Amino acid sequence: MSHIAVLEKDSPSNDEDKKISHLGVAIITPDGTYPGEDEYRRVSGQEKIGAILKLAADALKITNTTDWIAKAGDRQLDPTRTFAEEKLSCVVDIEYHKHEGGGGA
Amino acid sequence: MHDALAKANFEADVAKLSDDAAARVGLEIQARTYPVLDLTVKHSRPLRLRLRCDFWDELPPAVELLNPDGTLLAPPHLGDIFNDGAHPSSGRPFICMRGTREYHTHSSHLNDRWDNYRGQDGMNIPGIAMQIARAWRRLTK
Repeated sequence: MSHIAVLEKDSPSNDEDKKISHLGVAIITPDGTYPGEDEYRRVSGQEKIGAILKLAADALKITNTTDWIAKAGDRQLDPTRTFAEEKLSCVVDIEYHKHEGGGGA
Repeated sequence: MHDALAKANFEADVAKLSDDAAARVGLEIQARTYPVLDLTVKHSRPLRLRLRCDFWDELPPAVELLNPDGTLLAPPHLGDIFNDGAHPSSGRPFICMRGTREYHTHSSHLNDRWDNYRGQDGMNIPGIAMQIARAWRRLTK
């Protein structure tokens, strides 16, 4: 199935803005997908990943993400870093869910 | 627990992860008909999981480890949440992770009750499946 990217403009366009790379981001959680099915949010590469994860959690009414982890592909992301610092570009699906726990029986 | 309520709970939960969203995080949904969520973790070594969710969410899902064709998997020795020993109830290798019926009914974890996690964010049916999928990919790189 093809994805239709609905990229929301996050700030007014200006010369400085054009120098900053942007990307489309979707957050896929056990409680739904942000910003919506087949949609991507347009974000600046300089934005912290954690800020978008927070927006997603709020939109999906997820209140406790204390031990949640974010991944792009097989790579775990550091929410305190920016998308650019994590070398993310173009269109990215981020998987966001609770860390597994247990073991040792 | 009334079966109709468990079915309604199940259907509300599994509807939160569409087939398309699942595919985007490497999960292929085979079936989502109460009481079973059947899916395959896409990976260099794929894993099929069958989560039997009768009595959801009074009880956590019972999870079967399968080959992609649906036959029973003989799991490699991975450790962590993948226990290749025989579970006292099923006699089969099992997933020893909070949120699975096998974990909460194992004699080693009877003091860690499902009620400690029931209803928490991320502990719904798709959330439990996503946690298992992550662990499998991490341990079978």
